[in-house]
Amino acid sequence: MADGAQGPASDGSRDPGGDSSGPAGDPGGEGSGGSEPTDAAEDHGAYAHATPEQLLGQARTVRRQARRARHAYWFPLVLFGLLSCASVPFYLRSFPPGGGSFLSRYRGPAFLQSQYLGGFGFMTGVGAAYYWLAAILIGLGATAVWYRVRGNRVGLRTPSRGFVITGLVLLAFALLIPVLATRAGAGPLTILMPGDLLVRGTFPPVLIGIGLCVLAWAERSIALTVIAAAYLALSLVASLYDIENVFYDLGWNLNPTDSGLPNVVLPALVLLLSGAGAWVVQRRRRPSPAGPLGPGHAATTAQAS
Amino acid sequence: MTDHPTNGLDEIVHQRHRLGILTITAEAKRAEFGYLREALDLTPGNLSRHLTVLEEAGMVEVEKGYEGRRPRTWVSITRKGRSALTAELDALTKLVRGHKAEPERPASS
Repeated sequence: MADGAQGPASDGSRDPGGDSSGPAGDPGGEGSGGSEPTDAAEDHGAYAHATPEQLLGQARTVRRQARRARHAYWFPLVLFGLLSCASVPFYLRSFPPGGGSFLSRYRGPAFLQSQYLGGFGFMTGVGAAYYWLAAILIGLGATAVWYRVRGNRVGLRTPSRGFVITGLVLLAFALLIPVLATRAGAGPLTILMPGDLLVRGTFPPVLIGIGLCVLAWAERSIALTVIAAAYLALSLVASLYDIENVFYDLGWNLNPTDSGLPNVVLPALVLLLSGAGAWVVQRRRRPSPAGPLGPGHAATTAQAS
Repeated sequence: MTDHPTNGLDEIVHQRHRLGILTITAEAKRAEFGYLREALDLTPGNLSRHLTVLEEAGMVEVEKGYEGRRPRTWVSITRKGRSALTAELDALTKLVRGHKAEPERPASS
């Protein structure tokens, strides 16, 4: 920026020992502003020298930096990937060992055995719905805590509440819809129980995928949008199709007790791999020591834009 | 009153640091004073003054508190601030487009 070197904000008078806590350090709220040059000249400088291109370029730069600084979606990706991997025992036909007949193995309140959470799926064993209910709740809570802690550390809070609320609402629907549909009998509510989607008991990753789409919007991240869309698509395929068939066509005949695993493991791998990749990228992105409005930076920005 | 793009410029927002503050706070739920200070390369005093201008105009809300024993100041953009930022960026974009579309005048001798 042409006036980058003038004005009290960007010249050598910058307080090198300034406390990052800002005016909260002096609850009076005035900070050290009283003893510094006023910004009248700085305002004048902004009007006199900053061109619209430069102002737009700076706005784009600080927006991009802020977005990068607060991106932290590797954690929920890895977390839900691990939680998905931990569900593998519930998709082994031999689990639990010596488990008894199909229906007699299901115990506990019927509404907690929601088909939307993997209950009564032909690929799932006892307790899958309990597991997914607990896993999704743990995932939502840990993600909320993660964004709060990360926001405090970086200084930028991501609005993760939408992700958590979406997850809770989806869970509520997942628990309520089967109960309502059962009570209504063969009424119009049966449309809410699409058997093709629910029969395998692999619908919970679809719920996670929808939540990740909401998180992508909160993160303003194209990369996370692509990841969430790919994961959601794969999860839908895993709910509608026996992926084991693909392995069979490729000449890899899975053990019958493991035939449901590809439907669970493949979506989980997408989360784990993309989460690991995001972790590497987000780790590399360190905030630049000098701000984007500092001397010399603006001119470069204006040229670039 | 014409509809020239300059009429869309707000005197409060049309300042590079205040524009930067609004841009950053529009990106996050809340931005911490220390992040704003480093990102915009401002002294605490100057940032404080810019925040006061924006707060008095109702464009940001400043919340002071503690994280453990450490004082923290969080800044969030208001609806009015978001509207003002959008209007400012729209006006700047129109100015840039108008400037690029305008044919160069021959130099008068």
